Amino acid sequence: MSLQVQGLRAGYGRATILEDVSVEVAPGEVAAVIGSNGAGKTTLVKTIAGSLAARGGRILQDGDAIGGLPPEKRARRGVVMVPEGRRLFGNLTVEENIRLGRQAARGRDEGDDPVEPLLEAFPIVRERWTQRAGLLSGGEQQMVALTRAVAGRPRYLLLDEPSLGLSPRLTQEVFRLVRLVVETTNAGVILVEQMADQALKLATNAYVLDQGRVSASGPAEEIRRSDAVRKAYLGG
Amino acid sequence: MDFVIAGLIMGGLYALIAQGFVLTFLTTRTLNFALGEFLVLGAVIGMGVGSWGWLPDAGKVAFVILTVGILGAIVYRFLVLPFTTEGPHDARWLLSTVGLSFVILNLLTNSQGATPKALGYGGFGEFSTVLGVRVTTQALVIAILAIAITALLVLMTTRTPLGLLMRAVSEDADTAALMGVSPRRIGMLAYAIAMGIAALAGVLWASQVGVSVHMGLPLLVAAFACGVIGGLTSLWGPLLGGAIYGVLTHWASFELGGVWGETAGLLLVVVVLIFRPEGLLGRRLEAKL
Amino acid sequence: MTSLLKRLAGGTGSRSVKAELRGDVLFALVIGVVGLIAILPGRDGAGTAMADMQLVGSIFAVIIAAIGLNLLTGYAKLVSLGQGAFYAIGAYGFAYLFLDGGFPALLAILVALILSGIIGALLALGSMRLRGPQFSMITLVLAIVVERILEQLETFGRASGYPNPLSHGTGLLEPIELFGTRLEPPLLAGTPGNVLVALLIVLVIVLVLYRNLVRSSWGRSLRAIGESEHLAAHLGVNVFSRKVVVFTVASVLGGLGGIFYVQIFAHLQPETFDIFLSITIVLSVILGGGGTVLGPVIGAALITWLQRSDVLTSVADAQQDLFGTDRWYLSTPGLLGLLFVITLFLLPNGIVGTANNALRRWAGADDESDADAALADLEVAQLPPREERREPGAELLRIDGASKRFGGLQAVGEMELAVREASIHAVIGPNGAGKSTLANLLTGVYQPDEGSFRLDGVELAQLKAHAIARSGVARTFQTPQVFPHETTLENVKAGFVDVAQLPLWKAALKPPSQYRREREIHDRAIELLDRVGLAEDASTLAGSLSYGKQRALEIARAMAMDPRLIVLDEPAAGLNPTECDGLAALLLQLREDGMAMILVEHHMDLVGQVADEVTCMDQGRLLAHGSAEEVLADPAVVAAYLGVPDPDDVAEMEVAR
Repeated sequence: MSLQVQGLRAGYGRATILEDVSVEVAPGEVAAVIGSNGAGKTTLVKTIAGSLAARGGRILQDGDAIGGLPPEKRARRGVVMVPEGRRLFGNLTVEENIRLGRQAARGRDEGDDPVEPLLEAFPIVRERWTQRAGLLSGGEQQMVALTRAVAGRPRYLLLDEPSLGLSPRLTQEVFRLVRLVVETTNAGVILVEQMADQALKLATNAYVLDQGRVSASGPAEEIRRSDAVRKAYLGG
Repeated sequence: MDFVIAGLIMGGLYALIAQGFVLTFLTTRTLNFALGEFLVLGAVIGMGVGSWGWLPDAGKVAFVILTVGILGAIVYRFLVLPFTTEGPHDARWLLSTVGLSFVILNLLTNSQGATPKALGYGGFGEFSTVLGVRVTTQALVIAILAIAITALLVLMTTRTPLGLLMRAVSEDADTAALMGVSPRRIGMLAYAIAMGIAALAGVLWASQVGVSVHMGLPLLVAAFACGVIGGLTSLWGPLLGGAIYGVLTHWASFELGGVWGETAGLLLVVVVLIFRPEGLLGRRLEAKL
Repeated sequence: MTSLLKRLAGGTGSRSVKAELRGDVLFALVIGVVGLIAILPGRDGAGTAMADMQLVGSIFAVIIAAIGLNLLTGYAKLVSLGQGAFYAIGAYGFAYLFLDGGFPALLAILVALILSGIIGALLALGSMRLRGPQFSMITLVLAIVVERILEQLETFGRASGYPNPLSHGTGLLEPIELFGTRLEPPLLAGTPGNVLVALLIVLVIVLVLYRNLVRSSWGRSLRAIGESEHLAAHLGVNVFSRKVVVFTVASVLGGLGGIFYVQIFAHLQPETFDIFLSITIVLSVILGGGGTVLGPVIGAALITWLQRSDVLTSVADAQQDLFGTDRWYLSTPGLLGLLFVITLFLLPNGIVGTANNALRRWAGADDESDADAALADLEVAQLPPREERREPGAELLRIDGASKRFGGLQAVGEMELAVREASIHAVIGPNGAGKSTLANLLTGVYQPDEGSFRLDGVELAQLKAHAIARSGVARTFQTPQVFPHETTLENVKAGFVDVAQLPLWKAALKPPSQYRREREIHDRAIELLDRVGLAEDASTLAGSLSYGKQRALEIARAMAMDPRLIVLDEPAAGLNPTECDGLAALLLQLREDGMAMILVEHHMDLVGQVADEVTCMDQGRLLAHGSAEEVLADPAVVAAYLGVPDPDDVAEMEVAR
């Protein structure tokens, strides 16, 4: 049981962004994908979620090849993405956004509501329940986006830069929420992050992307202590 | 005063048809330029099933709506969707639906002839009096229906699960797909409903004026105008646009003679676009770089 | 490299002024000769040739209307369904003024053209603010309204047509007289339709002007608008006014087509000018090849011939025989509608466009060699010295208190930044810090909520994108924005100031100075391409360039604008290390030449290599400013990047390393 990406190649137009990228995550684990902007992190999760067609390689969900499915079918199978910049439906209320998230869980929605524990731990989302999502602050939007994704009962959750534009304090909050999500849903999480240090503290395994290739990978703690991260971000 | 009432009533018909543009534009950012022909198609099919004695009249109308609706979904899937793949500036869908309109119109003209024929059912009596003004009951029924259907559409989009999906696709189709919603299916559904409404308008209007292949074009013009005036991104837009356009064109053709009604309507559209390009009730769509 | 340059200057679609002139004359000659051969059979007025002469005349008329529409729909990608309306306005306008108004023929023509133009301009003013189907809808409404007016207006004789024996005593307009010659229409056997000669002369003149126009910088602005209005604005084009002008020009050409029509048939029936006419003109453009010089000419000839010959009628008959029904079949309008849909599926680039592509492939012009990178093997060439700049180090741009909110998000807050002449100022910061928003505020994509942006003392804050570009701020984009279907050389030419500012008349008439200017643009564009390492790709389509080369192309285009400041939005994204080094060398050389640059970038190696000053943003605000070493050593910056909540932890990490 795992989500496996094998030898993935992907890009836009004439640009090949990813070359031979392999990543794997098992349920209940967090795989951090870090690297500077332009390294191909977003391209990676977009390709896994199906927003972008792969040009080579395989994507396997628990052994089934899902690389040819449209994004909505992947979501229905439990491969759910929180896109970069959150992409909430700004004209819809928080409640409606989360209700939409439940669409992905159609046919798989037995058992307790996965959203409840999150709302209890983060009451701010419930306080904003009937407000238009576009009016929320960045941190609140990220909470809602995560909750929306969880409403879709993800088996594998793809998080694209949840800390984007947030203060360090809010980033910590969001990461606390991610941790809670993993604990309550037992989903496998691919966490794409710039905020490497915090992401690595949270993750089980880590992959460093550099110029569209995996330049280092291994247990997160090891990567965190290594020189690879600093090099990927600050050059040298 | 007469022309106000009469104009408002006619505006109802225009608004009903304009809803066929707004609904698809909201969800897919495209419209069916062959809408006028779908309306005629509704009337022609309506005439075709007129002899089915075993089916009550309401059933015949329902059959027409369903058939044309399905055709609408097919058109979206095979003639619109393939021509929207090159980004927001891609306007090939516009040309393909224009081409389609000529195919349908020609086919119907060759098979039905140019002379209007009676539909034979779906009529609602002779005349009614609204605030002292005599209008045909049929037009009045259509106007009331326009309001009712608009209200229903608004209720559907704001209160039902399906409506939520439609609003989500309307706002951001790519992200909606990430939630497990298929934008293609929602688009097909929107086209089905929109063309169904056009067919309904076609049957009801044909029941008063007869089934004619030439009934589509003038109605298309009026519906375009109402849609643009009211705003293509607002479900209430057609009603407001229809009311304004109906009254103005009625007044102008009454005062200045037949053709000036439409000319005045065109000028109004241009004026509205100069001062409020998104239409009176429309939202401005943000351009993303 | 130099010999290559010379060869290029002489080769790739580029010619000396003399050769260019030869080409232009040749074009006029060929068009004229083909037209002459077409009208030759009617020279002695033989009755048998009359139908053919009418067909040729109709083709001339539709060609004029179609090239007008091509400017609009083919080049600027604005789909008008109302070209037939202007055709009608021209035809009826002339006929009415000539017959009922008693105007001299030439004056009637002139006024009819002006009328078409005014109606077109009015409509454009209303519909050009939006890009979307609204414009097409309005033009369709116009076409239908015009047809209805013609059908119902007593003045135009309704179903009897205009003129008609009842009101005018004749069904035919008098031929116009020019220099004592009666220009007879090809209607009566025994009378040669010599009006065709006059029409041919006008047609050739109009085609030459049209060709000059679309091949000029003015034409480039249309293609830019068609590709991306954003991009066109950043090239300094006032998009709205240019769209209004091009629609007006298209309307006048539509009107001229109608005037041609009157000269051939001398009688007008309202049903000639129905919506179907507009659609056949659109079909002519699309089938022939929108956005190509000759596409609409060929399309118009083909479609008009199809309509008037009995080819389509026999197809209709064949269907009836085949399906055994005299009801369910397609006749001419339906068949053309079907042809339209089929064209969209199978020949989206039209006949000429497809042929061009095939020729290009056959000639092997764009072998897709993306392996060798543009910036990698860069030999930085020296440019001729630029005109006077102020001394290096003087402050060029100052941003103060810039703020922008989107809904609940403060994207940029109270930012400040100063850029000096001949220096590179890098803006860094974690993803989402507001760097790109700042670049977009500066270049007019968004209007700032607050704050001032002063370029050499001139306030830019409330200017539109095109005005900012004209004030001397050029930019590149995160995702390279090039015209994929144009050659690399054409792409660079789109950067020159002429694209925004060349007057229409100059573009169309092409006076000698214009030949020289085009030559200058050409030479300078080649220089710029050489500069960024793309000299060998000058004739390659930009869409088939590698990512890195597209980036280089964008920089060359920005330089073509002769800017005072270039805003580079993540130029290193998607580049490999070698390309990146090339980019650094290029930026340093540009600085050497006195160019000031803002470099929004994540790639720290590049920043460290080239930046004179670095500003780090976080959460839309200024976090640190100083030299690259200072800023990258700032614990707050490191924390912002690595996401360490507490700067103390950074120290701990340092130790751990």
